[in-house]
Amino acid sequence: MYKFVLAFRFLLKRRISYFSVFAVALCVFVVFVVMTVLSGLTADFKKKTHLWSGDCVVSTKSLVGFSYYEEFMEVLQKEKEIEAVSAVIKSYAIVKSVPGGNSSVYIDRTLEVIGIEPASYSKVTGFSEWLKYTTGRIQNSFEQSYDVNLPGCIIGIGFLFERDTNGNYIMPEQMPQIKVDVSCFPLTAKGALARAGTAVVSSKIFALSDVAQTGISSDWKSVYLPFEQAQLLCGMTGELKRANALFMKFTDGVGLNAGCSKVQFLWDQFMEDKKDLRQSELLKNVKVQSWKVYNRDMVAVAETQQALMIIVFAMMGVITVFIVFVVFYMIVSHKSKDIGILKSVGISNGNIMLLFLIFAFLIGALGSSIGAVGGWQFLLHINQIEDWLFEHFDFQLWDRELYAIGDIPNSIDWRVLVTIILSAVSACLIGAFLPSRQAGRLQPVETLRVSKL
Amino acid sequence: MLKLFLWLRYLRKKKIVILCIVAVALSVSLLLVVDSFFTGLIDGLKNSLAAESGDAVAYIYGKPIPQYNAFLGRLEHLEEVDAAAPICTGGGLLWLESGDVREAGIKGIDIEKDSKFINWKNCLLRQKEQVSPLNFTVPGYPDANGVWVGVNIIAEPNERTDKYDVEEIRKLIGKKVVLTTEGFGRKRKVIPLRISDIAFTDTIWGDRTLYVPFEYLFEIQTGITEGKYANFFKLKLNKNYSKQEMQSAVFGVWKTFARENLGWADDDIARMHIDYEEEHSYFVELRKQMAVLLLIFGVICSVVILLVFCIFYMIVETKLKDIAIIKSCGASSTTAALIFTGFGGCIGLTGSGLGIIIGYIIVKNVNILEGWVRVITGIKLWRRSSYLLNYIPNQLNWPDILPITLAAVAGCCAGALIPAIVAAKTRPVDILRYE
Repeated sequence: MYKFVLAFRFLLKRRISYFSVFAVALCVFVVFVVMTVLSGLTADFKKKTHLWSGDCVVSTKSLVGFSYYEEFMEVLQKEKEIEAVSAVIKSYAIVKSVPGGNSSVYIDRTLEVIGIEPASYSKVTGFSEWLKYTTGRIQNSFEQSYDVNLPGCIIGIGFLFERDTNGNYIMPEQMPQIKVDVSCFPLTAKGALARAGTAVVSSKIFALSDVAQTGISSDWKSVYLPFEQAQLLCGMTGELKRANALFMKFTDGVGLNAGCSKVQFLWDQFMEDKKDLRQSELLKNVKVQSWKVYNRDMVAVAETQQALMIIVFAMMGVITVFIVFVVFYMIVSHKSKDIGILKSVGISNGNIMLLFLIFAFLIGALGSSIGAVGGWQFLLHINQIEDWLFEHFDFQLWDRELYAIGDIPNSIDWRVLVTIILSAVSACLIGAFLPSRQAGRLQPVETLRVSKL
Repeated sequence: MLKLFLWLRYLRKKKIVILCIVAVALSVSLLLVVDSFFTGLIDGLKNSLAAESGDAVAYIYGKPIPQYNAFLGRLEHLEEVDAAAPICTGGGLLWLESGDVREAGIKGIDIEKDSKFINWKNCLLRQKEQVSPLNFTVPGYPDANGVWVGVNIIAEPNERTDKYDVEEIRKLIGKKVVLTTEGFGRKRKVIPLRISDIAFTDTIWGDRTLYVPFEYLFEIQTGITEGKYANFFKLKLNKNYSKQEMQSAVFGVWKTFARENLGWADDDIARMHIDYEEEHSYFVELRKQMAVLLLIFGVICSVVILLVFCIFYMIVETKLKDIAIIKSCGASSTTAALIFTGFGGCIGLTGSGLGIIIGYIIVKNVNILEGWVRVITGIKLWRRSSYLLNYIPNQLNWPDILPITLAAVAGCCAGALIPAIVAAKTRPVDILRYE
């Protein structure tokens, strides 16, 4: 009991220990705020990327695509682990505005073409949430009323609208009427140009039927076309139809690794069955990947940045250890007589050491609590603070017209908070260890002799 | 002299001040590394953009000019312009082999003129070691249409190491590829080419571009086959002149050239415009991120002030008798205070010096360190596809060393201030009396 009483007494009476508390609180505050914001951004980005490609992707990097995809879809749909699967065409096209619309937006650039079947695609991805104007059935998302003779297309929102300072797109109430000419290069199964005798690219005019906001880079580089139209434009129709990818969603409760392993197993079997058939060589380039691997270039950057930040903060934590060490070294030096008296009444070395470690724990716990409460309050108001800074000093943490970030993420991840608090308390215990051991080893006869008084 | 003697003595005898020095060094090196990284990233991207697109682009709207070489020759004689080159860009699909077709950006370049913007010699795999002038000739196929292919079009870096297998890539030189692009009148143009060389540029977008002779691409896009036409020119500005000076000089040359050589009317002459490479908003954001990160780390580093305070307070308490003796010998309170604030400054300087050395070593060897991290942990910190630049910036930002060092010294002096005041207020009569 005396250990706790003395530890509390040291904490309250030794004002120098306030510095340790302050240092711990400051570090916890900064790390808590930064890690919460960073974790929020990473989680948000990963969620958007996950929604963009489903759980698992069977795809080839070649624009030629692969055959027999419909048969493999049937194989997948029989499995209880697979909830939904959707075939996708992916290629590139020159997209150019043509007269006939009512919008001043002009498009003339190479875009990624994504051919989709809306009903199945929306079961696998977040497609239904991306659309801004479709209000009825998702199957009708490629339908438009201003030119019923033309097939519809969906264009990434970044091409059409600007964003305001809060990151929201400035959209007209009525969807703009835009017609675009999409020119693709149809390829044969061998990768040669289909219809090589003709001199004109495979072109078709589409009318804008909706805009898509995925929240990732796709908003600035993609145009969505009806699956059959995209397949035709890319030369993937014919006796053996081809697609570039199969996106799928696993049934609830199926783990990512387990699901992907199952699909890989099915794919290997499927490939073996088809090995002697025409165009089976295209199947060799096909990979089965989880959404994390498929989007590795995007996801890995966010995760690496988070890991780097943790390493840098860990380095800075060393300074907190130094401070606690110095403060305890001072306290032990000043309290040598008290320690001598305690030991002279029979308290062991271990208990003296424990006394100072409890003191260190209290500093860590108090500092962490102050830092955590401060950080929590700061995070609660972080968006208001940013608004105020923007209003008065034109400062935004991220330019919302440039980055697809809405509010600054401020949801508290309790695991992050607990880890930070535990790290702070551990840093205090590490910093206090040597002075505590030194205190435990003090000899009463040395500290209490008259010449020392 | 006395102060210097005492500083050195404390530095030698009081081992605990080493903690201060280490903490200052750690903070200074961290701030320097972050600052150098971001500055290097921004400078690297800006330089690459300037090399690719020039500092400014002069274009003649809707009407290409013949004899562009004569016009460029006149521009290059201007003191305001360091270099000028025609540019022409497009996009298309590149067939590499059966079943393998990739998207590629296409750029038409005049090798000689473009070399004043980009050091092409260093970028090319085959022609790097050759002494002959750079060309699009294909070894073993003298009549073939040669093309330089950005390395990222034909190869993928190793997933683990992010490095290319150069020897495998070298084997692709001379290989037949087929480019499909949109030509004049929206006609599909299918062009058989052979790889003359592989380009390893500094940027990911440069590595994803196909480089063909300027006149060849211009002909494909416009259908103009004779007369050396062009209508876009990138310009490298002489840094000693302003944009306005350059603009009026270029317009002056253009008007004379268009009237005398081309016989153009004023309406056509007015077709020329000059666009400047403005500070991209992405760089503004990078600078902002750098400032925010430095602020966050600066706040954490300010804890060093507390550390200095604690240590100095302890030193002052244990050295009260020494201070009293010094004061009893006639030293003023200011002298006593200066001993400790000066000592704080000393620690700040020593720590900063050490921090600069550590920061320099880290920054200079950052690519090697990143390799070690990959070997030890398996984590690849820098991927060229993600960060746009092909290397981690490894130049120390020397101009920012001074403010960071000054901040460190000021922080240490501030930490030592209260203990110094305590020392100054010491009364020898209280400290040295016999009881």
